[in-house]
Amino acid sequence: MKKILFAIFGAALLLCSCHKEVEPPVEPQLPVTFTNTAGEWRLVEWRGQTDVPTAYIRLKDKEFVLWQTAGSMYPTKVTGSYNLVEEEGVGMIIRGMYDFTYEYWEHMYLITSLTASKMEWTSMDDPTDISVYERTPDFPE
Amino acid sequence: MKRKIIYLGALLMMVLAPSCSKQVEIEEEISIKDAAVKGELLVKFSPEVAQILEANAVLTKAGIPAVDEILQIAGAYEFERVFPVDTRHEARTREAGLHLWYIVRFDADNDIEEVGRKLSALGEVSGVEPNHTIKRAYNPEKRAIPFDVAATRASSGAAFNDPMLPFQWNMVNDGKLWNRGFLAGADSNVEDAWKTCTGDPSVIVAVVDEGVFYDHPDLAANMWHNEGETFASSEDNDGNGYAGDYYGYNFVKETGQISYSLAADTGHGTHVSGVIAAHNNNGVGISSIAGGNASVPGVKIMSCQIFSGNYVASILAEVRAVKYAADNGAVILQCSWGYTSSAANQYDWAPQYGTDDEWMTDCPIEKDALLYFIHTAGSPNGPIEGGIGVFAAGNESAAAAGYPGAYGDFVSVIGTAPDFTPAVYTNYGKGADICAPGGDQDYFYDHDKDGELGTIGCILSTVPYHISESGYAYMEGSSMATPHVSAALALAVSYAAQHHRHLTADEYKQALRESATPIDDYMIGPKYYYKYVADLGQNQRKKMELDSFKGKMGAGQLNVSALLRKIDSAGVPMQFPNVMVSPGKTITYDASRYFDANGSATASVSDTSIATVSVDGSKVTFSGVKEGVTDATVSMGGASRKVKVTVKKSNSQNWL
Repeated sequence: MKKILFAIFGAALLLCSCHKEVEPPVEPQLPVTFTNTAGEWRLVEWRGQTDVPTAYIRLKDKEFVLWQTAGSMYPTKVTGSYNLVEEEGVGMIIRGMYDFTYEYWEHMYLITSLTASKMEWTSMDDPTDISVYERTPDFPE
Repeated sequence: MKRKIIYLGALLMMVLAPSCSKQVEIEEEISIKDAAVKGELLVKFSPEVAQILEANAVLTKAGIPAVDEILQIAGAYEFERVFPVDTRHEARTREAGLHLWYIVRFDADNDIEEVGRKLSALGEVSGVEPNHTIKRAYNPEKRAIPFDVAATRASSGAAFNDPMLPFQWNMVNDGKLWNRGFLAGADSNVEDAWKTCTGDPSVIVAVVDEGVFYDHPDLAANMWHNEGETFASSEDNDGNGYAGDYYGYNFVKETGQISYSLAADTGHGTHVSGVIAAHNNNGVGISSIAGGNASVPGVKIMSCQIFSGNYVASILAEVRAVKYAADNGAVILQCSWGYTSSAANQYDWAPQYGTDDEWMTDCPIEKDALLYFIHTAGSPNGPIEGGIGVFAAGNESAAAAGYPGAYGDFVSVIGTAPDFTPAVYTNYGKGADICAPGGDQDYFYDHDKDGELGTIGCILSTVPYHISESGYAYMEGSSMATPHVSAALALAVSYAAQHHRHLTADEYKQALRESATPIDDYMIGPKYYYKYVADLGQNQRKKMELDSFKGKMGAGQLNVSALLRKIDSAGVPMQFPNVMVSPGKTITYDASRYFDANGSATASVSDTSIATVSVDGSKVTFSGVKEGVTDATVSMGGASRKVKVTVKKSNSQNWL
């Protein structure tokens, strides 16, 4: 009986330790800066939905490239410039303007939960409008 | 000196300013030309004050104190947006910054320079430009050559039954016309193309020119109609900012009544229209490149009138016409006008812009409007994405095309004779893209016999009756070459629409160049022609060395049939698009444009709490309910496509 109990405890301990080992490491939060947000990102979630239209954004040197499939039969690519501005008591806000235009993006976004691989954008005029972007090596050229 | 010319070749010239006009530099921000409308300035405001303008601007005031102070002193009595609000396209108008342009009208006795200098010094103002006038001038001795109907002859084996087709060497050149040394094949090579496509009524060509004779028996069937409008009405029934614009709009007189028969009208707009879309195979008159076939409609002509008799037109009319064309569905901008070549000889001409920077700096509103057209015309979900501006290279016999056509984003057209040689008058070389038949009266002048003065080698097309009782006449010029290219591109877009292919405007331009017939082999030896020398009162035999044109004739001669073959392998197949619609809004697609089938479509949406769909025949309409994403399936003729429907607040079709 003792052997059986030891075996059960042992298996449980083993399972616990194994479970701990497969947990992904918690990525450290990064301050929202031009450097930390620079790179290529893919939209993976919008308004809690993960089945979203394919969209990529490249942020570099205050210029962006948006590659998108929503609203067209083939992907379209648009470019422009963006800026990060700190709003006191709120956080870092990203705002963009399209090339060949003087028109800003539809929304300004508060960037939060920035890690090396992920970030969240929340619309400044609609807190339910949350987009999650993941860093990607597959930005379409 | 600044002059703007509409190229009528032997017929007429339209100049922006008299040759004696002077440009006066005012600091660095503004250049005023004599040929500017007195008491008028075009002002572009900074984006930062756009909201202030919209909230506070009234008839005579900007609502910005610093600006209003200057306007008050100047005696301003009118202050309005250059581009009137068209609710259907206001979002993209703003994206292009065109909502920032205003026209200020003030006491004509006040100095434009002084008012412009003061305004341009303000931080709220990003640019000031005079409202250049477009003044016509022409040699009354030079007229279009009326076509004598009695001269028509039966033709056997011709593509169409139009009785004047045998005189249209520019369409089909068998080398035998008039037995005057024409070269078989030195035409547009359109005959084979007609076997596969003669045009599609969904494709609209905006003729930015004199008014088009919309009731001409050979044009009426292919005129564009604004179905939401009543002809010449004083009311803006469709809310596009222009009243009574049924066939287009008269931007000179600011009315929907298109005019074409004033004594000083030359028939230029009607002539270029005939090359593009005179009704084919109707047993009447001429044939055209994209004018349909008997009961099959061709491409549509939209008349954007910027010249009218002796009335003074302005840059204001031109830029409004260009934007109107884009906003009302045109995808090809037919512009047989432009500025004088920078390489024109200074004895006869006043050379103008030689670089993109020079043109863009001096003509910012023209640049903004034209770029708006090429960026926003067409659709990412249609046969052409973007628009194409086609311009005449000019008629100064100069080795550089005139602007705006010379700008890299536009197509600039060289005129050729019926043997592939450059027309005597044509500009060529730097900035020129492609050649097309433009006629060459001087080349064949020595063959004048039996009353055929001037007809040999010229281009036959439609004109108003006051120009020719028959309704047809000959003209020449790079003006006449240009509509061949506009029409070829319109035919290519028609072909793509009918074969469900999607190309960008740049891909069409690339196909146009790659399909051209090389003609450098014809640039050998001397070409003799005759030119009237006023000082001597007689014609003198002249010579041009064709070797000097080698490598300077753009991509070569327009080849319409080869262009259509290129479309088969260019671009991508059309497919029913993903849908993006704002909550509470609808968007409709015609499924027959995407499926190779006729009849009714069916459609369903996975989550109707996000979007709903309804079908009427081939028309599929999506309605946004709330923000979110759902799937939809659209089917037609046994084929189906699954698409994503995104309901998202957006003024544009962009994700952000």
